[in-house]
Amino acid sequence: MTAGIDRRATTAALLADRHDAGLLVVAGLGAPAWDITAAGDHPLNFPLWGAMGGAAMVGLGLALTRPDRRVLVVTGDGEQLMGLTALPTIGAAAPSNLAIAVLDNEHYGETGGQPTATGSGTDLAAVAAACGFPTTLRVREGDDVPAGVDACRAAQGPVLVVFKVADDVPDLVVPPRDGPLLVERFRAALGV
Amino acid sequence: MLSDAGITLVGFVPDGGLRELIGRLGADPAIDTVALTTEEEGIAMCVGAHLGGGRGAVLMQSSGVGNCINMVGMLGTCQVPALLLVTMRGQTGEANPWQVPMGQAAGETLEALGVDVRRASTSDAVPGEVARACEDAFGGGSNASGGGIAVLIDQAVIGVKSFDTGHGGPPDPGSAP
Repeated sequence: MTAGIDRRATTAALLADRHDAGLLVVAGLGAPAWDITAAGDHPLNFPLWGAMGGAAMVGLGLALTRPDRRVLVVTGDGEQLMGLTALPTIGAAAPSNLAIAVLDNEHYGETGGQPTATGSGTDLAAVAAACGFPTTLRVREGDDVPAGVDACRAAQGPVLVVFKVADDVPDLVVPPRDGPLLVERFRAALGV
Repeated sequence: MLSDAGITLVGFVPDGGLRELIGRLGADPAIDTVALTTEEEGIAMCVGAHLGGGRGAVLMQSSGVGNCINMVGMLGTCQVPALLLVTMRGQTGEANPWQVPMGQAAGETLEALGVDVRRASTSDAVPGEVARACEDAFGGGSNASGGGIAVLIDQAVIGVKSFDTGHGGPPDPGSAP
């Protein structure tokens, strides 16, 4: 196992006290969807079970529609690499209330641990910075997790924080997989 | 018309046939517009708009349909209403053979993914088809998919793109395809 910070502890920190903050959460498919669920299933979670590469753009649609709320996308390096084109789009749209947390283990953890490009030099925080994100950060040590969390929760958006996490595969904690249910409970909790 | 239908968020990848509409939407204070890098982003964005209580649409050329295939599946899986306006290429009179395969396959591809596909073959038909699609998608009317509704606007409505360089040769380097 590659050394790195703990993905579940990081996710729990990202979502701590979310209710008071009115945080809206989108998760990319696979481990990030299990991670946000392990922190506590919530109607204002929208975990993707497919649509790989779409998490950040679901977040953008939500952030532009609800500028009164903070929107946090929690995704993986493979998912964000597939959705790389979203970064220039989001940089140009410049939603101040959108943050993307990439739990970067440098592997496709769901499919057998094949390496992704982030282990061979691609730096998603640097890509986001080059796309005009005003706040980007790389977190490599546990001591720096709070700074990454603060950026995701409060810094001027769009924000992208890469958390370099260990490549272990924690227990599956799965959210509901019924798409209409996930959509309707989210909308009901928002009152729309 | 799109703001009358309550659409709040429109993503687009430009097409010559959409130029005027994109310009007008940008001036409409009721609608946020987002210039997409690739069309599939717009589908995901419509899902986010719906989660937040908005109404999303995506404007694209028929070649863009091919760029959205996996993402479009989410509209049906999650029963998210969205309007797709597709200006067609690759139909009668097309001067660029590279536009033909995706243009010819666009409607069937969307249908195969469960999108309710309508077609507007004359300019007179466009306003009515788009208005009905909005009403059906967002207003609880007839929506065969329960998710996305696409209106394919025939190439005949937009006009055929000319590649006449005036000297009988290929288009100037740098001219848009």
